[in-house]
Amino acid sequence: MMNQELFQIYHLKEMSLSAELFLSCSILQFTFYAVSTAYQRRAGFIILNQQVYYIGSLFVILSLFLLLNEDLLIMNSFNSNNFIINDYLSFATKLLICITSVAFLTIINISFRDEPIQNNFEYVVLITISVLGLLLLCSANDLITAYLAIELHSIAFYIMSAFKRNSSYSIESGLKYFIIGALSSAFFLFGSSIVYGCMGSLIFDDLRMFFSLLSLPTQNNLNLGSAIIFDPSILSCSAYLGENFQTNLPQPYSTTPDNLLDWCFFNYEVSVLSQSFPSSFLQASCNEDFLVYPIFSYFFIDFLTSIFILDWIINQEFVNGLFLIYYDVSFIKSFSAFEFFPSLSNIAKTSIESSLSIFYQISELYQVFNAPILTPIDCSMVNLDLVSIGFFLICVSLFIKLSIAPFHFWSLDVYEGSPSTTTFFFAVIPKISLFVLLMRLCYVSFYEIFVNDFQIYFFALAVLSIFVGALGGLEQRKLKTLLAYSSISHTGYLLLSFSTGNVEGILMMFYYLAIYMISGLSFWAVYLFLIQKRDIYYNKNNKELGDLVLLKESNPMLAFILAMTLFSLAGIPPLVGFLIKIGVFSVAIKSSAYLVSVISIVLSVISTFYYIRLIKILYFENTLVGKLYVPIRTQKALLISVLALSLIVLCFDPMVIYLLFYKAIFIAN
Amino acid sequence: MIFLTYLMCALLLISASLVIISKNPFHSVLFLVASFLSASMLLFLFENEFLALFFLIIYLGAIAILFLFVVMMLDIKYRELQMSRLYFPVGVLIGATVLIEVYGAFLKVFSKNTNLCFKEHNSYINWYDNLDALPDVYVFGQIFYTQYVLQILIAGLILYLAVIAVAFLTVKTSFHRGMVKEQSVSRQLSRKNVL
Repeated sequence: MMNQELFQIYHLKEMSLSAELFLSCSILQFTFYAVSTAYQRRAGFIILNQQVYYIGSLFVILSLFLLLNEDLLIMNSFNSNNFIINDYLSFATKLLICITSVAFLTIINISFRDEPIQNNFEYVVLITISVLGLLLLCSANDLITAYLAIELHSIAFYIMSAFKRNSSYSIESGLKYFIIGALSSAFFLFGSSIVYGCMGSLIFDDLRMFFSLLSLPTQNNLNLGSAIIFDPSILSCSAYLGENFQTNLPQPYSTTPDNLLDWCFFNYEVSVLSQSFPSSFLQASCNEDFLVYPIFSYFFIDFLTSIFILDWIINQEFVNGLFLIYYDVSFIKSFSAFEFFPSLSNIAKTSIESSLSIFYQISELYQVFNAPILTPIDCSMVNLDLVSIGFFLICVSLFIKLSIAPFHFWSLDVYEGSPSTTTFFFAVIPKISLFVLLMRLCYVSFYEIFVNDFQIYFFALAVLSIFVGALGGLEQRKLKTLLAYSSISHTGYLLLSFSTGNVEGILMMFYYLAIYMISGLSFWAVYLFLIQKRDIYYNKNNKELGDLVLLKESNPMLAFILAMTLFSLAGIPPLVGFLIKIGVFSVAIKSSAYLVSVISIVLSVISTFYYIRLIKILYFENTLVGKLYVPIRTQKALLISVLALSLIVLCFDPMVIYLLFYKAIFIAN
Repeated sequence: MIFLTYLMCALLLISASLVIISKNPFHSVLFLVASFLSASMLLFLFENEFLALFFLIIYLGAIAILFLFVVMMLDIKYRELQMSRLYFPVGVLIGATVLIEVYGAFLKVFSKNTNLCFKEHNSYINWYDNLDALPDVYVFGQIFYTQYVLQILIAGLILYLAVIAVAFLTVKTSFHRGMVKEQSVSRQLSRKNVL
């Protein structure tokens, strides 16, 4: 009975990517449907405009629903051959991405109604595929999966920026973005191949395990107990006991963790089928008195495998068994999660409790013998220089994608050239999942390298991008390029709070990201809804700063909301932008980065200039001639007012978003 | 064996750098073919036959030939490399720095005798693995379609996206007619060849 339920859980665990699976299948289905209707001559080339946007937002809403109803989240486990991590951090970020992309799809759906009718359903396909890539990137636990997710969303981005085929600016920006993206992925691949060559694995937790073994105090001469030699080249863990026990034991064996995992499941299946346990391997390796049982890779110990193993151990009733079990906090954590997990409530608790007690006995046994479970790697064997070069290259690739200051030159042209809706998407949504990947790299796998060598460079890059964003925007007359500079400086603040290296900093970074996304939605909604009143539609959609003159006369509420959003981006007190900026600075001061925080506060004052100048253009120009815009409809007004209201409400009650990420960060740590 | 490996590595490096250096795009495609060929030779030397044949068939047989066709069809004008006064020295400086860093790190790592480093490593040979060795293709299939199935699916989605992109960027619709650059076959055939 118990075995069957365990197998159900096992299969459920493989289904933990249900939102992504649903999204990809529905994208495929949707494309066939749309192609067969839109390109059919017999049907008369039906125009699919509003409907496809509705369908796209429906897809994202349904995957959001799947995400919210995922019970497997508390297991905090690794799925699909450990390539996917399913923790609360990925849940929170995926939630935010889904919500913002639904808002994005709604905004562009409404804004497209005033434009000439075109049959471009491909745009929705591209948006949903890039959302899929961003969702996959949030839960990637492996450099290969992360690379593929980055490629998935950035290929969609290249096409989205070249989407307006009759505009040479759009084509140029798409090509530029493509070349820069190819450069960035070359850096990523080179870095990850170096990491693989040095450490033998690409899974983030393996890398973390490697560094944690490096940082253990070295004890070279052990007389008693176990020893593990962690071989960085092939990640094989070979285990044998110390000299005292060595005579009693058969020869040690070596295996890769994946083989061990397969072996484990294989044996479990056999036991389920035949109720016997012909584990040739274990019987080969156990003597009369001792059972040597190596489970060493960190990721290997997760919830189910540990249950399987302990269950098997109990069944075998070895009286004098000695178990070597790599013991990690996650093991206990998974058991505590076990109690919350509703479908497991029927399983007999006794067997698990007994296995836990056996587990504690084992650990006590080790304490009695004073035998360390893990022995450190000899540091002379490993050279970390090459690994840090690989880490550096991967970081450079991510910085190019995030447009952090020395790598930001592409973003200005791409933002200016691509269609407005695409710029909207670039500016608002993809940053969060790239930061999640950066966090997993810097704080999970390469924490040692990051803290020892790279933290100061991260600070320098953050200050540099704040500098570039503040000074570059001063001269700009084009609104989209101005927004590009503003986005660079905001990324600088994000990186500043990211690189402080403590929990509050990361928490502040995610909080900042969420607020930045909301205010970006608000700004771009206003931008998209400003459609000029002209007889002939022509293709110039980009706005210069002077185009906003007299908006307060033609549409005072819209001007007010735009001014409020700009105040929030600048960080003026009654709005939520103030709260996040002061949070970032206080975190930086708390981690005693005084010089950095003083410089960035001064630069933030400078960058306030161009926001205030926009407000001056909106309200205090003495001209009588200005552009006229189409009056906005009820739906648009509703959307904009909800977004603008959230900027005020979140300032007085910021706990909603704060708590979401609070839990995520603390569980992740 | 060692000599052959070094020879192939040298060929690979030379042809890969000539891909960038040569000004005629046709020549650089030919050097690309040469670099693929030497890479597949290297894989043969490392006893990785399936991947080597894969390289030969897919990269040489399909992709490089496709590249050749595209280069012959495009009307690429010769242009001397413009040596910008600002970009060239800065680029050389950055490139040289990265090269020196990576080279130094590689030297540090590989200067040691690795046999000495792993003296703690057990000398146990798993005879079972040696006796029951699997063929190359079987192993690739196992790895691709069981362990890395998620990645294969994502890669398939990327290919699907590329197909959609190409179809979208090149399809003629009534709205875009006249505004999008299109291929004119007669003009393409009438101009003189790249070679």
